[in-house]
Amino acid sequence: MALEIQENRQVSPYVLFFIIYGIQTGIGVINYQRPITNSAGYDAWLSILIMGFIIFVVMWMLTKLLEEHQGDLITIHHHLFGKWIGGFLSFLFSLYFLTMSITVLNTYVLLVQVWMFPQMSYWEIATLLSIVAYAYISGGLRSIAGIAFLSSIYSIPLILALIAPLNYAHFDNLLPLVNHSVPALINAGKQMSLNYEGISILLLVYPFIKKTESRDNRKQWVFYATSMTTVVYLVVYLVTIVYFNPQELDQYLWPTMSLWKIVDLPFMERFEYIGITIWIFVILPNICLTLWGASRIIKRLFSLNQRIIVGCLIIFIVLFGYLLSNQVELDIWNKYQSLLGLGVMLMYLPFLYFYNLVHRKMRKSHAKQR
Amino acid sequence: MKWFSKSQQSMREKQLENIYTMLEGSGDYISKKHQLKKTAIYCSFIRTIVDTDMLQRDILTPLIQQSEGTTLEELRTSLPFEEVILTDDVNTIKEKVLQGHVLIQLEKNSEQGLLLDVKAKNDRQVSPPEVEYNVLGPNESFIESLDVNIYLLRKRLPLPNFKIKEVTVGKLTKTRTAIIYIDGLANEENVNTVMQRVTAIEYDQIIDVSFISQMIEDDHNSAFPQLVDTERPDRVASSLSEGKIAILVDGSPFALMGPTTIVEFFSAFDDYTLNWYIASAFRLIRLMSVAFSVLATPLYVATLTFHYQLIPKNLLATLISSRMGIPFPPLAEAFLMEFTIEVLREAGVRLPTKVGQTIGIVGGIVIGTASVQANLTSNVLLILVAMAALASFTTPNYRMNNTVRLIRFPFLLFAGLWGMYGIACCFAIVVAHLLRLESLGRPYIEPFFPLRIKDLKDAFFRLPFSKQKLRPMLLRPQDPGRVNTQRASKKHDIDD
Repeated sequence: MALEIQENRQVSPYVLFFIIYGIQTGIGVINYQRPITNSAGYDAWLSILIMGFIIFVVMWMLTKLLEEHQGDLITIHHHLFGKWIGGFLSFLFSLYFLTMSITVLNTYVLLVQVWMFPQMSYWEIATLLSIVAYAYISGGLRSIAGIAFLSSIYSIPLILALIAPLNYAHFDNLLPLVNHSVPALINAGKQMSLNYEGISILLLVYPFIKKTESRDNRKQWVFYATSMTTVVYLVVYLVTIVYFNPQELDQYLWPTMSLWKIVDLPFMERFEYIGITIWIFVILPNICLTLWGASRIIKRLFSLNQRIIVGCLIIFIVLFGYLLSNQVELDIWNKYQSLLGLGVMLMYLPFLYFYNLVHRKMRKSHAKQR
Repeated sequence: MKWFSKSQQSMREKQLENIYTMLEGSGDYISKKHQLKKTAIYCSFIRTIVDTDMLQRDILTPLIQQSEGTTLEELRTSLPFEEVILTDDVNTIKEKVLQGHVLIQLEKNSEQGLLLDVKAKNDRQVSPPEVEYNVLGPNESFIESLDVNIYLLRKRLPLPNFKIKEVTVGKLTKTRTAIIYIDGLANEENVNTVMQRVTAIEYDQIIDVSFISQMIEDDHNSAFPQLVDTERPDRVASSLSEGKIAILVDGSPFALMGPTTIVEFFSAFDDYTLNWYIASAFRLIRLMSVAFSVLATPLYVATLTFHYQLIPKNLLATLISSRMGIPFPPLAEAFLMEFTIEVLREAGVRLPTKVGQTIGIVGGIVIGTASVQANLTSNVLLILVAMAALASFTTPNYRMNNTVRLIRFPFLLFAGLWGMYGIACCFAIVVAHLLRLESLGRPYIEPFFPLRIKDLKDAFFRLPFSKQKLRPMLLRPQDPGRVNTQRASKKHDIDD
């Protein structure tokens, strides 16, 4: 019962790189430095590597699952847990994607309000952003893949802008190397779960990726993307800690923004304005992919019109997001979101993998008995 | 069965009568009897579309002086014409007479006749291109005659597999439309798409090829043109040899080409006549001026309304002093100036050339300086608006040029309402639209997304011909290689 996607709806394998890279770099990049430093001090770069490795393993598990079941999340759940329980679990995943899109939308709206437009209301920013998101989602995964690809190109100047603070770098901030315990390092890694949260989208996107008879190179792009993300997080973190000293870093809510402020161009000051503006292209793949994922699950479960589902979901998240439109509430929400993400990524997805192993054995022995 | 054939015959007679009375109703229809040696003939034609000199010299004189024949068949063989139609089909007679054929009959208004093509040829001369001018390279442009246009193409591509498919579209105008491609090179799927869409056209008048372009485009509601139109036969020939398909229409001095990508609208033919890095530099300048043209005034409005912190101190002082005493917010100021420029442009296009120059002086000098002196607009904005207008005219394609100029207004509005955030949103929506746009079913922003590195050779840069050995992948040509790539290139070391 393999899931077939029409060929003209499919995308090339290299696009998977940009989808996975796009969903992993989002709102997290702006403020992940402070929480991980609080746990592991300036050794937290090790935690980034550890977390990167763990994500790598989880990704490997997911590709194994997907290849065995020849389908997507719904097929896997259906095979392992049957129609009703499997369907229910898939539905929960849809809600999970929805909470993710709320997190991204609200964090970005808050960012715009704090840095650029204190006088602009939540409604204006969120509505505009959701209209843009709808324009992409209604074009299907091809158009979302397009924005994922273009956004990683648009965001190159943002990464290049981090060269500027290196002029004032104190490389001795890095020393002494590794004077934190392993639990502290792992604890710091856990703080990063919000950054990696989107990876479960792989479970829905995978069947949309073209594969030729002779060669299936989808897996390799997933791993390239994961490595790339880890490298980006590592570089941004290293730049942050050589520029700020620990006491200073504790004062900043959004250290990446403050790093952009250092950029000094003859015709422009306050580079972070440009940064936030371009940032819209970095978070668009996040919002689009999560909303697309949520609506796709509902479509597959209940065979409804996806256009309508997306419309309803967008209205829902904009309305719901209003409840979280200040810093305090959003912080609480993000804390739970990050816990949820941790649970899904490090517990549920591995569980799914091992359960599949057991299930396969059971199926085999069952078949033998017959 | 007798009654059936009888009624059929009477119906045909009635039809015949109808047609001849219809033709005789118009003042320029002539039907005249001529006495030959052995028999008499009736010669009928429409005077205004027939070359009467040719008729007398090549048909009537030889017939009257020499012809000994008594039947139409005998007359036919004695005439030195490559195509003489002997028909007894009333509809053919009607059609051909209306297209400039002369009808020769033995009995007046009978159903049988000879048809000879003596169409008057009043086409203008092939002249240099006016819309797509370029400095180097050939200087011919299409004219209003389909046959001459095909001749211009054929002489550039002397190939046996140069294919022309002719269709007639338009209920009233009955326009001859030619779909041209190179067989064995152009993708068959593309050819089928074009054929299907052109034959499906239902409209009464097809006056110009742009009518067809608007009817067969993939997205009718897009501001972006999805088929290139050009007046240069050299450009069409080069596109055909890449595997594109051209559409020509009788009576239109333009050709349509597709499938295409957005980059092609910003490439001029000079890009191929100049050295590759000079050509690439000019193309980059053109692309940058498009970006400037679309974004300059919106950025001005956004920064001055919301983000004055972006501007360095020294520049801010200049800006403030130039805006001192201006009663409008930046958005209104910018709208006013952009509107003025568009009015000037439109007036310049519509007015006769001689008056047009006056308009330039009035617009440029009088309105410009006067509005600054009257404190209605700032100097800086005036410079930006003028530069943006100038930059928009670097786009070689007229249709794209209009799109670039028009797309600035939504950007301006978004900038005035939501600053840089608005500009980013507007840009994102335009990109979303472009990602979904297709040209004859092929992706519109192709070398960028889907990313095809091999096609980037002719996108931002125009790489040298030695790197252009493959035809564009976008077109999926049946024969992808331009040259035989087998020959190994030899690298020379120093002093070898």
